[in-house]
Amino acid sequence: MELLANLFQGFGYLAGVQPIIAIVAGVILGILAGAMPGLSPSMGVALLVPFTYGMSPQIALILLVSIYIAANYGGSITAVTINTPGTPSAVVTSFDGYPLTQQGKAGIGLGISLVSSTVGGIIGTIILIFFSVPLARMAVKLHPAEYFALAIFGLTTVASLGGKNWPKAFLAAMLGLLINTIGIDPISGVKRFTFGTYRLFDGFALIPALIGLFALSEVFTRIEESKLEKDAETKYEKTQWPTLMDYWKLKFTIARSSILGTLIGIFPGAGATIAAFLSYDLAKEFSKEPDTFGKGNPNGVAAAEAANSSSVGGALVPLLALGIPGSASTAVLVGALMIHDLVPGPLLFVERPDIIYSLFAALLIANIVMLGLGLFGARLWVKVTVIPKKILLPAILAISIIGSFSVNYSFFDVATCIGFGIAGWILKKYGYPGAPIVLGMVLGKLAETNFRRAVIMGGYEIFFTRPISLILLILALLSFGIPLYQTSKANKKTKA
Amino acid sequence: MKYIMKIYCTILSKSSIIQIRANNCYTTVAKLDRVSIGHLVKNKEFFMKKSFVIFLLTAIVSISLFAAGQSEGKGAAAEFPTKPIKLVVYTGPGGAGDILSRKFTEIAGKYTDATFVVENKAGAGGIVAMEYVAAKKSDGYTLMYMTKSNISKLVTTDSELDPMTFDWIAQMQIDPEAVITNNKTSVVTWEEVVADAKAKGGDQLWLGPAAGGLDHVTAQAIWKAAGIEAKWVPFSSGGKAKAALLGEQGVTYTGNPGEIIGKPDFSIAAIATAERLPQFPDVPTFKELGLEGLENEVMWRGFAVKAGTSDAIIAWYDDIFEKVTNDPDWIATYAPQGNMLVHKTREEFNKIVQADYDAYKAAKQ
Amino acid sequence: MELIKFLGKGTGFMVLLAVLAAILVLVTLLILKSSKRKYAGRIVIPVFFMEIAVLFGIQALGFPDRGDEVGPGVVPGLWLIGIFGFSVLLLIRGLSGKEEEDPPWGKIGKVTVFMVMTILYLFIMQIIGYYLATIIYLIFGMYYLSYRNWRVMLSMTAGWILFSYFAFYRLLYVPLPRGILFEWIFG
Repeated sequence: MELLANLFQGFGYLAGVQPIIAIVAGVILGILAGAMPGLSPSMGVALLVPFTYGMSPQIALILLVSIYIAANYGGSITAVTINTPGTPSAVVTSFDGYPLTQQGKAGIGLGISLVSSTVGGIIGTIILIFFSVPLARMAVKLHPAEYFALAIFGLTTVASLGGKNWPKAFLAAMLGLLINTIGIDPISGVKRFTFGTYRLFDGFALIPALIGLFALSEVFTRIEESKLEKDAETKYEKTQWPTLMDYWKLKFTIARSSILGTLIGIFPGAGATIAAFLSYDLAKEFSKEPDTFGKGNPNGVAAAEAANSSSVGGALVPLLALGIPGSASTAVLVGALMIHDLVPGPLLFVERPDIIYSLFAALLIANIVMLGLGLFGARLWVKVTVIPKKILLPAILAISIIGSFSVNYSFFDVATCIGFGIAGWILKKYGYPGAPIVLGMVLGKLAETNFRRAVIMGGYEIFFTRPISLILLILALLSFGIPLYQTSKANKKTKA
Repeated sequence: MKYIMKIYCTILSKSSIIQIRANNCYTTVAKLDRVSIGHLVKNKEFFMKKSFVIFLLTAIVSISLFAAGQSEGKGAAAEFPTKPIKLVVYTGPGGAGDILSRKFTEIAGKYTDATFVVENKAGAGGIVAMEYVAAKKSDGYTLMYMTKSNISKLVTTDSELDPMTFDWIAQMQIDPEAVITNNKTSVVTWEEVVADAKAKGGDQLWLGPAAGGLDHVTAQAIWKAAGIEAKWVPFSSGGKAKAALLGEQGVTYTGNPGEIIGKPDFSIAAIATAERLPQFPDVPTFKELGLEGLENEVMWRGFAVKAGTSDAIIAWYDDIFEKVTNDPDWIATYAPQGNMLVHKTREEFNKIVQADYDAYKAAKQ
Repeated sequence: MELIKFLGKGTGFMVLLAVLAAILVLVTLLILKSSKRKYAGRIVIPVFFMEIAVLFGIQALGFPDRGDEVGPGVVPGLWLIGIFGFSVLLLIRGLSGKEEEDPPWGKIGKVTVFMVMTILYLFIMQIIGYYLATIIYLIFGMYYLSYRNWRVMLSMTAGWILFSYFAFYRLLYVPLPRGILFEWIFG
């Protein structure tokens, strides 16, 4: 009960002009940063840290977490409307969100992604508030062997993503994994596949590659198909919005994905993207009509968005309970706190409860503000689909270029983006999907470093002697085998 | 359009009268900018800023400004600086190095009218930023934030860059290496660590960042001095290694004393300095524990410019660094974090860098 | 081992690249002349990936071993075997006609022009700066896609320039390239 009293006090801290402005400004900036391909949530937060130097620590933190939350939602806007995920985790949102737009139902996609994000964000925050200490204690116990098993489990989602194209999907995932090994090896410090240039010491940056694979390749495909005239005539202005009933139908998907998303967000190094992929897979497994996934199933959008927004709450768990950042964005938050001589960790609960509880309250309010602003904004976003393609396509290219430049202020990243765009266009033409490449790039480091770490710590047998790792690996084998078995069965049927 | 400007440029750069006028104009603008946006501002692009309003007019102003800047740069260094100084940081915004650099510019602003502009050039553990600075002129207008890990990176990546491409003008902070333990376990003090290592016979796990880095090299030196054997488990960041220590996945973490502040589960078993740190009076040094040769295993942070920068400019910097070192705000921010705050100037600092570089080279073979 | 070292660096690496490129061209030409013409893409792409696997595999075998329990080449090797294996599978499927026929080529000329334009944009940006390059790129891009409403084109471009200036340059401090030309002129 003390917790609730503290929380109320937290809301009390927010009753003022400044905190409210910070939340509203943070949410608006966050949505915009998320929607802008190239500005990931962690960059959105990082780029605004310098602004917070002059603020009180409370306001600074409120502003930054509002950005963090809203940026995770913002990525879905461009994913739904123009098939250009603004953030890595929104890649999953585009699987079903963009088909909805193509069917003239952009409103459905936007509405569902907003509401799922809000609900997911709130569930994640509630779990954070009530269970952060025990969950964090559990998270640090997770052995590298188990992280490895988790990564492999994540990779198996490729099997169900690929459908009957599974060999191509797997080849694409392997490519992503290989691309991820380019650069200086994080374990031994050896340079791998750098071909003599220091530009490749960090490998290819994920964000420019992602923009290239999705945004640029999409633009190139559009130009090649030259259906420019036709699209300009299609008017989506009379798009429909989801009804309350539509949302209610998604309640189980949203609840399931939110809990899964929070849990995955807690583990340092896992993060929003993996949460989104796994939730999507889970929603598909639970669905009565898995065939409609990838073709505009609202459950797909809801699963992805609820998971990536709820992972924010999860990522804050180890930060607040142990003082250890669980994601790139929370690592930036540590920096922002340090400027104000605040050291994140369990002592902060004792020394500065005002900071902690106003942070909790701000997280809840930011989600609600996001819902309000998002509902208003969605009416604007949907208009994007009415812009003639002749204007939109060059504009998407320009956005992609500035976005990939902003990641590291480097022309090499822009070249990466263009290169991946051209490669992605060719691959897409021949049926190789882009999403598994992204998944491979996200999971690669997690899988490899933990594999090698686990072997250093306990030899090869450790993967089978630790129960959680063994269970995850068996589950991975099953979720790898079952979709393949079903596809081959379905193939035989169609042939017979 | 560019031809017009080219012509303007030629005319203006040849007219000394306009240069003087422009010089005055520049100082005014620079002052205005500093007042309005403070020291966090990126490059001022006078030309771009107003290009939408009065393209040509701004062009004229900026041409004269830059022309003025150039002539000043070549002339008497006594008037250094006449344009904003770029402070290159090899981490992204929000990283520890970024915060330190911005804090430095903020404090330096109290003592000089010069404008510092922080520019982030992240990538390849500092190699990208170092290559960037190495390609600049030795005019003192590009300052770079450096740490000892840049030196180790040069060696581990077989970079062709010589550390003496830079003039290492100020060492500002020294952060000793420390062995950190989890006090929820039975292995907390240094004696317990040694006993545990001997009991495990080479299978004791030490956690920390990537292999070959400063922390790993220090750990190896400690093992050698203590006559124990252990395994190094590399993590992608210090934070993740600390999480693993909390999860009791290993016995120690090698890092800096400041890392345990605010985290009551951690203890420091020993530090690698000659004397105890005032901030951590209870923490023994390796020397006290009977381990020789571990008095100076430290992480340092400082600043460098391109080699060949004139002595007068460096003297100007020496003055600024000295003032910042003694600034109460600087001390209040960094002393509690377990750092030793120093100001070592170029003669001493260059020697330290060369020695560190040679030591890494030797360790690699 | 000597061979791997030779092929991993310098001249050997160049020779290897040339041989692999020659094989790729040869395979493509052969396929286009054969009855499998309609499956050319389905066959050439797996061959390309097999070559990538060989190229990277040779590099991976040359990684220095620093006495780690799992060396730096092990995991990339695993992925490379995967790439090679799936490529072989896809190649067999392509050769046996189990794959669909190649999709028809659309307006390849137009796409190529756009790609070249984008690459040029990247280079020109470094010379004349972000803003000017973007104005040219956007207007030219829209014009090339046969858009002719000049008022919309100009306002759209101006809007984007203003947005990128205020949002990226002023708000986020992204140092948008000023261009070598202007830096040279202005010092």
